[in-house]
Amino acid sequence: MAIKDKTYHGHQLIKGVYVTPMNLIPELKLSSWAYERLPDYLWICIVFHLYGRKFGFEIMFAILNYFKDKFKEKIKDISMSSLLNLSDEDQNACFKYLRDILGLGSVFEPLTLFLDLTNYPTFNLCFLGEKTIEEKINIIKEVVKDNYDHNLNAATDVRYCVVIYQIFIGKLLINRNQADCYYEYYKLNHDNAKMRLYRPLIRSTEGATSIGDVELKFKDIFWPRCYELIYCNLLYKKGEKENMDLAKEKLDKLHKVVVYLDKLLNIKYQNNNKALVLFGLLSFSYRNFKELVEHDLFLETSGRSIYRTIIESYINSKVLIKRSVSNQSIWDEYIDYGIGQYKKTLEQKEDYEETASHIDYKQVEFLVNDYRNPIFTNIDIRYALGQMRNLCKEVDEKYLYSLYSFDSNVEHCLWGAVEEAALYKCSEATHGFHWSLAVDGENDLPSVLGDTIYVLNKHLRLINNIYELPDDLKEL
Amino acid sequence: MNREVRSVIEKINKEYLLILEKLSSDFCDEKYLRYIINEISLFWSRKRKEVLFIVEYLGNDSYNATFFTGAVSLDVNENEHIPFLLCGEYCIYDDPLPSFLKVVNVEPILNKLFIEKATNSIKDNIYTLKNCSKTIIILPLRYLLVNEEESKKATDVSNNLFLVLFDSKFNSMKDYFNSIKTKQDFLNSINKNVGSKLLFNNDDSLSTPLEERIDNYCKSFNLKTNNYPVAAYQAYFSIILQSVIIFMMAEKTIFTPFIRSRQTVNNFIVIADVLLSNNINKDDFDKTLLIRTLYYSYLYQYFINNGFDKNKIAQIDNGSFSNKLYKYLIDNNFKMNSKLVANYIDNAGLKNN
Repeated sequence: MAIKDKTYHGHQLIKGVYVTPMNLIPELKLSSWAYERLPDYLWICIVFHLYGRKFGFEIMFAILNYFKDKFKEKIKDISMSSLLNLSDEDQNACFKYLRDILGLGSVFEPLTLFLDLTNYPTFNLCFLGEKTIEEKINIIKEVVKDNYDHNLNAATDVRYCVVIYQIFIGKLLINRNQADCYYEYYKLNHDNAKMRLYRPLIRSTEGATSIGDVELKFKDIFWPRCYELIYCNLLYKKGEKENMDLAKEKLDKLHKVVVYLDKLLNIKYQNNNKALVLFGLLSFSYRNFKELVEHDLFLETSGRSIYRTIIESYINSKVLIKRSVSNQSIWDEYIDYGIGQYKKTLEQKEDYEETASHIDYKQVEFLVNDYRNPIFTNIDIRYALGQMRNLCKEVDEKYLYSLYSFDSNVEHCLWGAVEEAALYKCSEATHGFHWSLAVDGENDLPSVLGDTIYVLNKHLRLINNIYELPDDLKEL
Repeated sequence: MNREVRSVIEKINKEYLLILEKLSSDFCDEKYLRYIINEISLFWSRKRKEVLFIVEYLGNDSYNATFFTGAVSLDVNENEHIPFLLCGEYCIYDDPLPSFLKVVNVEPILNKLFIEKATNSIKDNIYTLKNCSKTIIILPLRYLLVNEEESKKATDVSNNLFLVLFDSKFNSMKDYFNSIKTKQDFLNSINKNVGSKLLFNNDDSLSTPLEERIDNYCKSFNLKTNNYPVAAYQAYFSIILQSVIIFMMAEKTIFTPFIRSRQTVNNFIVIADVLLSNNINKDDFDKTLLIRTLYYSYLYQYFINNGFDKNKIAQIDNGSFSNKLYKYLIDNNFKMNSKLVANYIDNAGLKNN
């Protein structure tokens, strides 16, 4: 059966990859406000942080006017990188002006964590005060957190200063229609309706300006040092403990179903491979569900593996039933295929040195020989029934395939599952929200119990359509 | 040593040496001392994660690591570090420089003695890093391990220790202040076997009457004795606290302290006795560590009092010496005296001929 490929919104299928529309725009480069530019403008953030918005703008205008009058040719933008690229003499004049004439004192002291005596003596000697390292770190953490998101009002105020300086020195010419924005922005409160138009304009304009091409990039000092000085704040998700009474009740019921089918097999369906295969697959699901419940694996990665196996057991049963209409020998073929796989393992045994292993070769050999003389057993290296995606479509269980496919991430160690289960997210903004290893394995995954019962019930209904189950065992 | 740990140590040593050399050449005027100490503290704060990594993974047998604390210099250029090298396979010098931050950020004008001390420490560190980086690891253990919470815990333990120095049983500091009102009350109640055995400074002598020694201490620190119970408490508290902090560092690192100062060694031994006999915080301190510390102290005292051939000692494999010494002490059931150590060293042929 030909199956039409799925399409994803706006994506284009190129050589097996669905490419998102953004990645189809040529020359488009990402420039992160937080990572690329925030460190350079952190000194402005500190001014607003300490003096508030109104007084902060007054101070910033005084500073920007001073920069324009004294260093117009030398300070092309107000990034810390540009300030640090001034000569020692100019830096000295500039920093002392800020400290003494404007009376800012050691306002920029938190930045001495980065601009140290060894490498940036002018700044350090000018601004080192009496704050402890912890006090400075706390200010940096607060300021970064308050300005990390480029859409925040506080960050937009800072970006306004960046843009307005470009206008002051004549580097940026503004459209007459936009003049009101720049003239009014700092006077209006953020809750003023006009600001809803002004803020995006400021942000997009700032985004289009760039920090000058300077040798030293402050961000290259800032981020690594934040990582050194500040502890991680790791986030992990605690799931809710499952209702064990309910789970055990369902397990008990499924156990009764298996006992019933076992009796049925022995009494009525001896030497019937169809019943053997269908009951066997359900028994296999029961075994998996028993492990899930008895070992309380609902919130674990192994819970997902179990759930995925239970789906596969159900889908296989449904496919076999469907195909058996046109192929009566499909049950034998299914057994043949499985025993062939065990035979393959025996054949491969000779290729490897014997090591401690969970494979019980004697048991495997017994199973292979028990079925028939192995010289008549083929080894089929194709999929058993076909690819899972196709099988689910074949039996109208596309929804289950999406769940199965999601849990394949766990099964195949794909990165999404690794992040979800084996890593912690650090919520510390100064660390750039990096990942850490989940050393104590506290990350709980959402419980699989509900989904598992849903699939098992489908499986029971499937069986019940052919071999009637007792009334009280038709549903878990 | 694990090679990852080794490479972290080497990297830190290299960076620290570079910074110290640059600071001492570019900012040699004493007016910059405050900035230099801040810079050193910043350097070590930046290296906190690396230092904790080293402390945790230095060796499988951490008992074979020793840290030298309570001194402002190692005096490697005078071979004073050699007894220290015999006390463990891994010898860590507790860098005192970042701890000076508490002084430079509080005192508006630094006194000459402090400036001299700090400057010498910087020179000493540079010398050590240049000449002994293979055998001595410089880490600011106290600065990085004893945080505010730990300091509070040390204060509580010190107060408990202070209370057991008396013949009368005091359950709390309140009990003490309610019962001890005068100088005579204090002198009558203090246990002569323990309370009078602690030294208040390096020049203090146990043969001087306790009353006079406490008065001298109070005088030297301008403590007013009109409220005698408070003054006496302050005098004792500060010296007990010093030993307790060393215990805590040992507890956190599982490294054995090597203490050189006569006063600190004496007080450490007395307090160790009190700790062991009174079971104060017995779960927090490992007896093996205490015993090793005592013997290392004896070892140092022995070297100081008897003279030794530094060249002979320099040829000894430090790890094997300390392990053999420890085994010898175990074989002798850890009799708590210095004669055992002396016998061992005599037989090891380390004395001057």
